[in-house]
Amino acid sequence: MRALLTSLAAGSMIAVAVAQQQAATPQQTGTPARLEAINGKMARVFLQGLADGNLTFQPFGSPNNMTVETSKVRRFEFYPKFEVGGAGQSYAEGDYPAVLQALAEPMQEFAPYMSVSNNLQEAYVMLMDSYLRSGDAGKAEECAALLLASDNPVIVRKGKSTLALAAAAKGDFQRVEELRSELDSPAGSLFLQAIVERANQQPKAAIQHVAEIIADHGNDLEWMPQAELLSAQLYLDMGQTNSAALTARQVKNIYAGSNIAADAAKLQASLGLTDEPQGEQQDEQQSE
Amino acid sequence: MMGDRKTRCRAALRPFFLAMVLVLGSALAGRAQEKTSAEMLKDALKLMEAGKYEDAASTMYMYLGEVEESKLPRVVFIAQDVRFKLATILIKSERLDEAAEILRQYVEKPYAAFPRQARKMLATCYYESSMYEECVGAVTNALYYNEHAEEIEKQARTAKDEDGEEVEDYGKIDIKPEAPYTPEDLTMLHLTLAEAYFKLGDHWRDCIEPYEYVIANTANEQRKGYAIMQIINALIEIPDFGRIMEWVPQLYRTSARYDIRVNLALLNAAAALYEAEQYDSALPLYRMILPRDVLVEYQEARIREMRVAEGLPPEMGEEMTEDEKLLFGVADDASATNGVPAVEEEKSKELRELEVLVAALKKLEPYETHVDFRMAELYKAVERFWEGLKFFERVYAVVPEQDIGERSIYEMVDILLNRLDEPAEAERRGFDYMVGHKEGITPRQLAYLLTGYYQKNDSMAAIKPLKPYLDTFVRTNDATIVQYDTELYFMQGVADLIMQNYEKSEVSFKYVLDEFPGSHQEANALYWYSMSQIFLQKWLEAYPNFEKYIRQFPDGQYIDECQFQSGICLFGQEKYEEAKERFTYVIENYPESSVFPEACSMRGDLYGAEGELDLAIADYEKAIAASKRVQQATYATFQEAAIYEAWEEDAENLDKLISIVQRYLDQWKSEADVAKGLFWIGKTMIQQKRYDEAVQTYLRAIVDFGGDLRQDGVDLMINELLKISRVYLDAEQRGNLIKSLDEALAASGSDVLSLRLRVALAKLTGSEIELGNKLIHELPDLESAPPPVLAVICDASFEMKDYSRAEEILRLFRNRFEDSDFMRAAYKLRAYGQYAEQDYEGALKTVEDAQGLYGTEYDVAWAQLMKAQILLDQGKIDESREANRFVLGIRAWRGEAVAQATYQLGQVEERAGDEAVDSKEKSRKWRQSFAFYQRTYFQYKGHANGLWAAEAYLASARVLEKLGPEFANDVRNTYRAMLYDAYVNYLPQAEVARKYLGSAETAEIAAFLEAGNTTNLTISVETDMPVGTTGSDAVKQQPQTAAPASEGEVADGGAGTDEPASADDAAMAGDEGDTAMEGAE
Repeated sequence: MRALLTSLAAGSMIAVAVAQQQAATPQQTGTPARLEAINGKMARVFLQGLADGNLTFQPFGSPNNMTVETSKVRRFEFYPKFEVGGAGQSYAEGDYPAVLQALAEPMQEFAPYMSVSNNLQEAYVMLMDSYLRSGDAGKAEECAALLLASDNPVIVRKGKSTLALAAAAKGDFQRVEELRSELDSPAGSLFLQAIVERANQQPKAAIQHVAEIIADHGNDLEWMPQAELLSAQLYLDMGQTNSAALTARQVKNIYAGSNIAADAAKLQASLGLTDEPQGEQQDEQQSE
Repeated sequence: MMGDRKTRCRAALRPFFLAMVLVLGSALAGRAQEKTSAEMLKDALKLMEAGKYEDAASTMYMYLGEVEESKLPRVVFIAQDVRFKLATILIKSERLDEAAEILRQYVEKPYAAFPRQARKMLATCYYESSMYEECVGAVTNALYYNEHAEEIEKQARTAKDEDGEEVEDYGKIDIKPEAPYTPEDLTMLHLTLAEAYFKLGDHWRDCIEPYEYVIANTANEQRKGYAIMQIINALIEIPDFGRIMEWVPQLYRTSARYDIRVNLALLNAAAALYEAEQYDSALPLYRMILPRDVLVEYQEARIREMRVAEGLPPEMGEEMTEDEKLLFGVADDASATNGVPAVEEEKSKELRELEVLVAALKKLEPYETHVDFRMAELYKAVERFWEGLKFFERVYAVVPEQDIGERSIYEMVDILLNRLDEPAEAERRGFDYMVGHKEGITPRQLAYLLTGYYQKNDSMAAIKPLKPYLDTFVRTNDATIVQYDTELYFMQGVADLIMQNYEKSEVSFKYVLDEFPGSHQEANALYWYSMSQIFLQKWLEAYPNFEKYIRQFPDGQYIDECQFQSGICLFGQEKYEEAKERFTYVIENYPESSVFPEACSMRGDLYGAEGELDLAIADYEKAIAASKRVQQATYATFQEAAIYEAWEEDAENLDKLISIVQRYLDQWKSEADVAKGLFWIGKTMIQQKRYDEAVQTYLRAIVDFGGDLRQDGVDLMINELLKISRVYLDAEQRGNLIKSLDEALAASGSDVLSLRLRVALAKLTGSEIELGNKLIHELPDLESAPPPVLAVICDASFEMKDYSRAEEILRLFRNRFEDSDFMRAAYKLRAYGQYAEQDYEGALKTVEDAQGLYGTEYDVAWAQLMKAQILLDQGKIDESREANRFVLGIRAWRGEAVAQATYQLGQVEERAGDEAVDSKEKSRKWRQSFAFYQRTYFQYKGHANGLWAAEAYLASARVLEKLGPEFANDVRNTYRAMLYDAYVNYLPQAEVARKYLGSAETAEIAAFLEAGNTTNLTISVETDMPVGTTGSDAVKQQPQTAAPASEGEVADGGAGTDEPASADDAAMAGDEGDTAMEGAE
């Protein structure tokens, strides 16, 4: 997260320089970016649009549109005019409305290009996840759909899993099943199964699948944090408040610094628990 | 690396070693006197270039011995260069002690061209030689020098020698400044410093900062992970658990787990944290531990990569193929022997270390199952039971027969039973295991777990199915196993006892006594064995067993109880004097005993029986004063009350009676048997003709306690109040009572009380059914409805044949008011509901439960009648016959129930006739059937508003039709008799008769009756029923002059006519002989 914030801050400084350069070439419009082709060549461009796998842009200083296949492009370097470091901090704190407030509008300009690797992709994923966790499944789906065309399997998987989770949030379990079978992740597949079972009021079945993730995929850091948070929620669903609270506390501690830890802290707080370290709580219990 | 002992040795040897170097140098210098120092230097360099390090080192030593004393800058400069080279050679030759000494000299003397490098090498040498204190100093110096090189060098240039004279001007020789340490150098120096502190063992706090430096500055994931791991280990050692969680998440995010040392360190650290109950920290560490085979595979792949990178064939110890020779080349070192490729010699230190680590790892037993087991324990400890269960399952699946496998099945069953409330799954697994495992402690532990669970949940009946498993367990002499077996069989006895199967509990406890003599449960088994006999009223058998307990276990837990129960045995044997002595013994010796009040009461009873009423009262008072349980006080109080009542009736005694009951109520409050207490008070007040006070007493108690849903004594009081109202109160008083209840209802702040008061009012005004109907709609949730309310709802539902809430109401009773007398209404409603749905098995079960609770009480006759009807519906004719006949033998069921049973017996025989193949048998059965129907309408017409009589008339006609056309006139006469019969001719069933007879005949009968005439029309059919016979199959029609009696009179008369029931029963029990069912009137 620190790296992300640093890179985002650096991006904003570059943005100032580019903005100054833009001022010198008033006729050109579009999204300024540095384009890296697959052969390693770099070019300063103004992106005009991306559709059907084709990218349209204007080279810096030229008003003529050029079109290339996106497969020929390795990466973009954008120069966002907005500060996204704070949004990253908000995300880590689980403050999803703040993330949306900071990113939703300014990211619109860059959204069409998110299938290509770029320096805002991580922020975009953060935005997508914030939509999902704020309950706006439709927006999350829109974001996720744009990632599916990426040639990066990790990004595609994030897109697919978000689509599945959004479908689950909408109660479209048939779609979840379709996406689950496409997801190249045993842990992810189990997680979605558990989500569907939870939605169908089957917490017992769900928690057994979550336990399977924890036992068999304990080092899958993509799915483990949310699986453990789900475990806490399922314990709560089943009325096992103490287990829910203890699980939430562990998630908060183990994944400290992440949005999942922040969500776990919220759950813990909702159960009326203090934020004391385990040792101190034990000491107190002993003294009682 | 070497151990501490080696470190100490080396430190001690260092001065000796230095002296040896100098002596050796001087000696060699002497021996090589023919060579100049320049020649020696030249030789040394040549030898070094040739890779002859040993010789080169010797020559360098000689050279240094030769020039040691020189202070000429040029000589000093060259000597320094030689020292640096010598140190390098010594390190290559792994002569690290010597290298360290040379480097130490190097950095202390001027003209060091590589002061930073030398300091770093010195630190490494100390570390590798396990000289950690020196290492700490060397690293600290190196880091300080790196920052202050210029200043230090300047000081060195102006340094003075030992004699205080200025040394040579070392500035004469220009040495190119050495570059500062690179970031990688600095990281490694910090890592070395941290490791040295760590190795020192008592510098845990000191090592953290340099590790933190490494974590912050290295890009190597595994190194970062290792440093974090070491910080965690240091924090465990300090101990400072609170800070561990700062680091664990970071470690979790690295790939450090693939480092063998980290992986093994994780095991230790996680175990330490688990032991310290730092579960949040231990959990992620355990998770990171990779299975041995995964780690070996990963590291072997890495070794292959490193070997290839170092120009070696990928697989160690194998002959290279021709292709590999071409690819990797062939070393032509002649020293390669024993098939070990010469290239082995060229392996880097890192590769060699890794190979050693992998070899060591392979020798380890796989540890992952133990890790899984620990994880399971950990999840259980933090109450994440589903996760714990999953991990225990994994362990059990892998090593079911090992200790941890057995522990796992135990834990699984425990979690399922006691944590997740999944008894069915726990039973499945537990019983599966017990089927396949008859030996050892685990099956017994499982049986014990299940037993404990059932006991805790008051499911004692579930304990019994465990016995067949217990019986198959292989017995041993192992003390622990014997203890488990004893306990398990003992619990079998306890289950029998609690289920009131005293015959079985007697056998069970005897089994424990016989099979496990001298066991830890012997005293308890003997006591409960004797108690079982007491419950069976086997006074004679129980007495010696209690006496045995007293002899064998004079300090036993139940000694006082045994003394007391011995007294009870004597009492049971009518040895009253001895019994009284024994109770006296208890009273005198065990004043604090729980049975002291009982002993007092029992002696009081004996005194009472002897007419020693004062003594009896004194004992009851003692019992009341010492009562620890309400039951003890209740018994003594009401026994005392009975004495006052039996005593000469005077105002003083009645007042005393009221006062002791009032004292009891005041003392025990809600625990007291309020109903009984107030019953006595009310009863006494009524004796005193204080009706209004009695009413007020009841009323006050209802208002005081009626808000408590579980105070079902109040419900009994409502009934008492109604009885008083009916018998003793006049209209005005009854009106006042209703008014008081209305006022109480208006003032009530409690829903429960309001409901009770409404029921009381409804009962007083005869509007229970109406209230029940109202409450069905008013109370969608019956949670707050007390038993009388549920009962009126039952009655109303029954009236409307609405069985939709029957199951819910019965469940409420069972769960919350299992002792309530009002529950019988719920049983009836439920059984009728099930019968209506043709759920015969369900209905029979409900009937069985109801009969189990209420036996043959007057209002539970429906259960037996329903049972008989269901059996008939199921085609079980003989069983149905028996069930109906049973009704006839119960005195409490005379009247309506017997009427129905007689009618149903007719149905039974009719069905038997219907199903008979033989025509003679068919006729015989129909005739018997006719007899029962006829008896029903003759003898029981006054019951159930003539219902059974009316049905019986119709059934008689039906059977006569079945008997053939020759009985056509009998059919007609039966219908005529029905219309003449004033008890039934107004009922809907009579329409069948009217329709059959036609309007003319019907009008004739009506006119006959309107004229005030009565008749007794008798249809006589020859049957083989016992008791008398007319010998005629003719149908007789006899006019009868007696006028029909009123309904009430007939009902009473009916009761008379079937008296004695046993005679009826006997009459109906016979299968042979003829009988004529004639009109008795």
